[in-house]
Parts: sequence; C-alpha cells; structure tokens
Amino acid sequence: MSFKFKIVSLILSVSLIPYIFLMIYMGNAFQDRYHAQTQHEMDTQLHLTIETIDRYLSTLKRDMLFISRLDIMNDIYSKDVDRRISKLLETKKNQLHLEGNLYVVDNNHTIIASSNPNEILKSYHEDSFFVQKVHSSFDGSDIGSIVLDFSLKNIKNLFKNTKDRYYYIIAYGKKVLYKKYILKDKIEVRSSLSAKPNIEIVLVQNKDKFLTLLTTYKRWFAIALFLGLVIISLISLYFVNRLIRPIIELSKVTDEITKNQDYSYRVEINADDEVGRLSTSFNKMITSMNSALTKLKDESKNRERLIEEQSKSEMLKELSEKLSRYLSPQIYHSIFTGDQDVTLTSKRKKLTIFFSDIVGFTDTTDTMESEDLSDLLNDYLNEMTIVALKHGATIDKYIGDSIMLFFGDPYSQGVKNDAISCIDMALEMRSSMDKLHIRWKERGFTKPFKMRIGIHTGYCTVGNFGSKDRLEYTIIGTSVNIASRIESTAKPDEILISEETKLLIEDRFESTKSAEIIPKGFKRAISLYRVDKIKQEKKPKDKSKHRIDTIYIQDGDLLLTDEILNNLSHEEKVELKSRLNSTMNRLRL
Amino acid sequence: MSMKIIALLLLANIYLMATEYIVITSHRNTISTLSPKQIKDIFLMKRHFINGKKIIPVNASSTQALRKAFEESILKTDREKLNRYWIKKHFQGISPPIVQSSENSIKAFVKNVDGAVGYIPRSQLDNSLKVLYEF
Repeated sequence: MSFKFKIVSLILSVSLIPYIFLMIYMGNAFQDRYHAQTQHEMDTQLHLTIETIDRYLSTLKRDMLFISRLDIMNDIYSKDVDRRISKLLETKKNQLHLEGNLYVVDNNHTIIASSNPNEILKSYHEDSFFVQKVHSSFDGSDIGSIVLDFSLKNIKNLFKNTKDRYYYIIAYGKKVLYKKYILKDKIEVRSSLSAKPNIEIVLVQNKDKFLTLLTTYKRWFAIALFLGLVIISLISLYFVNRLIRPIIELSKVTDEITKNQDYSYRVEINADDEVGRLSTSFNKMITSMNSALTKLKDESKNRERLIEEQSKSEMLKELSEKLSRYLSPQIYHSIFTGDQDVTLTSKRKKLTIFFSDIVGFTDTTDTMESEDLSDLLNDYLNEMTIVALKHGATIDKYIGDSIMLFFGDPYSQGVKNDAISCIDMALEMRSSMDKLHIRWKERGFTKPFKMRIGIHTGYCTVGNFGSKDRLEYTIIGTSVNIASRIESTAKPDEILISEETKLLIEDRFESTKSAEIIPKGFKRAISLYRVDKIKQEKKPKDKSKHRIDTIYIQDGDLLLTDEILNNLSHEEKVELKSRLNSTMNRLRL
Repeated sequence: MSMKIIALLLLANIYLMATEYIVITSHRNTISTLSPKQIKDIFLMKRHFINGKKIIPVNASSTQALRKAFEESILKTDREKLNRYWIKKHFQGISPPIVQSSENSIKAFVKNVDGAVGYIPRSQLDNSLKVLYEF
C-alpha cells in the first residue's frame, strides 16, 4: 500500500465520514422539518376548515332562528293549510343547498310543515342538533319547533378534498365518510367542532404524496451528496498530490543517486515546511556525502600511493641494506638519513686512522685452498667488523686482509674520545684474534694468524671522491699514508700508534716508545709507541667497564674465577652480563 | 227585461254584498257580537281587549277580494291610506294583524287560537265558528 494511498484514505475518511454523517443528519432533519411543516400546514388547513364549518353551522342556526321568528310561523295554528311554511322550508332548503329536511313540528310532535311534503302530519321524535323553538308572534306562546334533520353531508360539502388530502368525520366515535382506500401510511390531523365537540374533523395527507415529494428532494440530496463526495475527493487528491510530490521527488532523486552514483543531483523543493526542511537537509546530506566520498577516494588514492611508495621504500630499504654491506654503517647511515649528500664534496677533519693486516697472510694463504682462504678471510673480517662497529668506527675499505677504518667522521665524539675508542677497538680486535685462533684451530688451521695495527691521528680530507657516476666515501691525506706506514712498521700482535695519538690516549692507556720512523716522502721522523694495556688506576669513573674489559680479554681467555666474580659490584655484574649476552648472541649467529 | 235583469242583478249584488262576509270568532269565545267600530279598532290594532279578553285579529292576504271588501266595508279606507297608517304604526312598534292567505287557514286559525277574530265569506261558515258581525 503506497504512502499516497494511505494519506488519501486517511484524508477521505477524516473528511468524508463527518460529511456523510452531516448530510444524513441534515437529510433527516430536513425530513423531520418537512414532516413538521406538512403537519403544521395541515393543522392550519384543518383549523380554517373547522372555522368554516362552525361558521356554516352558526349561519344555519341563525337562519333557523330567523325563520322561527317569521309571522308565517303562526300558520302552525292553522296547521299550515296554505302550505306557506312548507314552501318556505323548501325554498330555504334549496337556498342553503341543504342535505336533509327541515321540519316544523308542533308541540304534539306532529310534523306541521316540511321541506319534504311526504313527511307532513307524521310524527317526529328524533333528536336533532338543529332545533329551534317557535313562538307565536302575537302572544309569544310556544307553538312548536323548527327542526333540521341535519346530514353530515352538509359538512362534507364544505370540504375541499384534493387527490392527496382528504377530510373525514368522526361523529360520536364513528368514522363517517371514511374512504377505505386511504392508505395506512398517512399523516393525520384532527380537531373537534367547537359547536359540536362530538364531531371531529380529520384531515389526512396521503403519505405517498409526501414521500414522493421527499423522494424528489432525496434525489437532489443524493446528487448533492455525490457531488460533495466528488469535490472532497478531488480536493483531497489535489492536496495529497501537492503534499506527496516532494516526497516522490526525494525518492526519485535517491533512486537516481543510487542508480547512477551521481551525487550532483539536488532536490528542488521550495517549501517553507517540514518537507522543505527535509529536502534542504537531504541536499546537505548529499553534499556532505559527496565531499566525504571524494575525500575517501582521495584517501584511497593516497593510500595506494603510500602502499606503492612503501613497497618502493621497502625495495629501497632492501636494496640499501644490500648496499650497506658494501659501505661502512656510519656512511650508510649518514647517507640514508640525509646527513651527507651523495655529491662530490669533501671536508678536512682531524681523524684517527686505523690500519691493520695479517702478518704473513700471503705466505700462509699460498698453501690453502681458495675456498678455505675465502672462508677464513671472511671470518676474520666479519669478526673485526663486529668489533669495529661496536666501537663506532667508520670502515673505509678492506684491501685483501687489510682493514682501513677511521674515527671522527661522520660522527665524532671529539678527537680525544675518537682516539680512545680506536685504541679500545684495537685492543679488542687483538683479543678477538685469540678467539679466532681457537675457532680456527678447531677447523684445522693450526698456523696462527697474527695481526698488526697502526694508528695515527691527523688531519685528512674526508668525503666523496671519484667521478659523478662512481663515488667512494673515503679519506685522503698524509695522515692516511702515515697510518699505513705505521702499520707496516708494527710487529705481529703489536699496536703501534703515532705520537699524536699517544698524546690523546696516554691518560687511558699505557704505552711504550717503540721506534722512530721517517716515512717515505717525510722529512721529519715520527715517534711510534706501542700500546700495552689499559691504565687500571686511571679509570676510576669507568672502573667497572675497565675491570670487565680486563676480565674479558685477559690473554684471550675469560678470567671468571670465583674470586673475581665475588668481588664484582652490582654495576659490574650488569655490565658483564650484558657483554656475555652480546657474545652469546654473536655465537648464535 | 234586460233592464230588469240588470237591476235585479244589481239588487242581488247589493244584497249579496251586504250579507256576503262575516266577522267570526271561535265558538268557544265569550264575545258574541262586535260593532263595526270595535272591529275597525281591533283590526287597526287600536284595541286589543274586549270585555277583558285579548283579541287577535287575522287578516286575509292583501290580494284577496275578501280583504278588499273588509277594508272598504269595515275600515272604510283605501290601501294607500292604510299603508301610510301602518308605516306610522310600525314606528310606534305596532305591527299589522296576522295574515292568513286562505279562508280555510283563517277558519283554522280562528278555531285554534283563543281570542282570534277573522273574516270569511258567509258561505264558509261552519258550526265551530261564531258570527260577530256581517257585512
């Protein structure tokens, strides 16, 4: 059932039911009124008729009185031998068009004269309404009566009956002149004669006629009712259509939007009512939906782009991770964080440069299979790199068994700390070599490798060198050559440092002067120092770290005696635990 | 001869005229005779009682010869004078005597009404009536 149908039904029932009731009520009221009016009219008519009858009867009485007073009435004495009274009565009867006869009766009830001659001398005893005493004109004595044998037909003659309205008389309780064919369905009014209360006059209206009249009006009434219904229906349809149109419009627009996914549709309803407000809200909703949808589309595009970029960046990350293995982590990090541009730039900086190699590596490798050699070299470089990265070194390059790295770029802890870190690293590398010896021994390489290390601190030019197509982040300068020269001077397992470096680290490490060299192309001799060990007493602040270092690397073995363990402070224990964990982790790798 | 006959007829006529009509009353009436003067007074409604008895005069109808004879013989006046007289009397509240249209009715009336006095031709006389005067 449609909304429209519902509203139409509602309006029709709300307006039509009272209308029909009203019309029926009016119809009934009209009928009642018409009935009452008819009755009133009949009452009036009857009243007039009764007045006429009363007047007629009194006229008759007066006539009889008049006759009774005529001298001629003295003829009663002469028994009306001249028929003068009879003639008079006859004349009067004709004159008055009387039904029934007039008599003059003497005191012996003998009819002296009559309008009907046959009745004369007969005896008369009947009661009559119209009796008038007669007195002699000369002495006033009672000589007889004039009697009218009154017939009700006389009254009937006064009735003006029409086809639909009849009079009849009820005399002494009996219906007189009652027409049998008068239908039962009738309206009746009745009234008694004032002169003769025993006689009632009844006026009857045939209800057929009355009904015919009503039926005629009823037809008009029905037509009016029908027209009213039609008009009400049309008006309600018109208003419902007006009312419904915006809703249909709304639903159409909604359908269009759903079908075409086109949010540019708008409802055009300019009504200042709830529907108008609804359509305004609807339009607003569509607008906001449209913008939300656009935003969503944009967002989804962005997301796609993001995913694409993410996958690209993942790829890049993967790629860069692969690449990073060929680069020093610091370089890699500074390049990839954007701290350092990949351009042909360089700067001068004071760095601590480290060189190491394996003494007699070429001799040793001559007798080895190349696969084993490669394994060995990789193992060595890997171990060294771990240590280097742990201490924050920037790995410049591997040249065969040689490692070149430096401290101070791209991150620097200050020249002094850089140098200290470098020495720390060198010491750890040396002890790592001991661990490598044990491992290699297990794999069957009985000949131990010995590494030598040369360290120098000085100004270098650091940056990207090479061509635009192929760059290398590296350092160049005299200091690099000096460091390399120092390394080549060092004996196996020796860490040689220049004086510049020694000055920076001497408060931390014990060193002894080893030699003086004049590198190639240098005019001045350079003093070299051998780093022995960490100064124990001079590191109160970092005592625990130092002690742990000592424990850890003493002669390449862990010095974890019960005595040492018991003497460790809580911080030292934590430090040791962390280092051991780190070592364990590395072992797992 | 013819003269004789005419004379005879005239005589007879006079005779007849002299004796043709009688003034009558009921046999029961105590009055036995009336003078012409009395009769005249009665019929002109000047006198209503005779010897203490109420008298009711009854006229013949105006068209009758009887009436004419009565008026000429007794009242001794013509119709015109008489009419004037009755008009005058009418205004005094006095009506002329009752009229009966036939001799029979006069007789019936006189017989039936006590004190009634009428006049009829002599030939109409019967036993129930009493002659009061002849003219």
